[in-house]
Amino acid sequence: MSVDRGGRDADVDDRSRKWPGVAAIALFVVLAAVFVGAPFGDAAGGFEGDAGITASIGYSMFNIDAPDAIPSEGFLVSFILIAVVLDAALDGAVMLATREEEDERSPGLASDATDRGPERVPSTDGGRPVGDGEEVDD
Amino acid sequence: MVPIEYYLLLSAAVFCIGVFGILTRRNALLFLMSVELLLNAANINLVAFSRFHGNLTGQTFSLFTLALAAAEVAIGIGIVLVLYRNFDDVDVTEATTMRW
Amino acid sequence: MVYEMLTFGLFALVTIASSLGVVLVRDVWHSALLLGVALLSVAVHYVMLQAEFLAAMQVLVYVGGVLILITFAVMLTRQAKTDEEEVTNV
Repeated sequence: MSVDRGGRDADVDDRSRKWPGVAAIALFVVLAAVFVGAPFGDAAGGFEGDAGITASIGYSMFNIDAPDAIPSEGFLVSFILIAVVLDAALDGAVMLATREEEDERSPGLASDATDRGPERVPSTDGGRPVGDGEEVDD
Repeated sequence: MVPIEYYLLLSAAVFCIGVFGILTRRNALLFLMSVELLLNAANINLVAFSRFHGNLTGQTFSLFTLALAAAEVAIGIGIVLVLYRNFDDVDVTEATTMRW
Repeated sequence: MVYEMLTFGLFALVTIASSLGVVLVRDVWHSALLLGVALLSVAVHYVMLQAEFLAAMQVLVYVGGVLILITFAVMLTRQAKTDEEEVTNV
């Protein structure tokens, strides 16, 4: 528990938790004071509408005007936007998960270029064996 | 029906616990879990107000939040695995390469 | 009415206790399991708020997807040196 790893592990237990704990509790007190004191009006008696809740969620998600749906807003534009964002997330996950050949470091978060040898310099000459310049051997 | 203040207090408590987790832990996976707690607190608020007002906007919006949380966790897991691969650790204080 | 309040109080207690467990337990694997408990109790709150579809999606997406992903990450990043009280997973 008190393994010295840069001197940071020893104070995870008590000292470093003190001020975050105070901050979290203070935030909760402020939020609770606001929530208890705020006027919210009267609650609705429930969802009004003949269509089911799940069916009405479908209607609101695709901007379908059903006459008996529970009132809601339309979410078609945000549906399309989030679909695009999820595609971008998929591409990002694939980019992070891909590792190059004979390279133990991922291209996404390679820390520095100094420990990469000269053989990692990408060849810009099409790879043909040339005589001039320094020889990039590997 | 449970008054809405109780749901708001529950949501505030879960939110503050998530903030506390982000502020104290140094494991990157605990960051992800704390962010999940924050998103769940927001979802509780949305669903509670949806029931309170008799309007389905909150439920539909929390469905979108659910999908975005799943995508965020997928990206976060990828980042954590790359962090572990490059630094042999998931401690977020170890990765100081980009620190100025 | 009183049963509803009682149920709400009970599951709010479960939610808050398991959320505190997520951020306070030292082992990250136990944190992942407690996160699953917290997400399931949030799904119970959804059912009490007449959001049954959202509760089903919560269980499917969070507990079935997100928690499995986190579990995989916990297993993949588990340090080999567990003899000195896995201090790297704090």
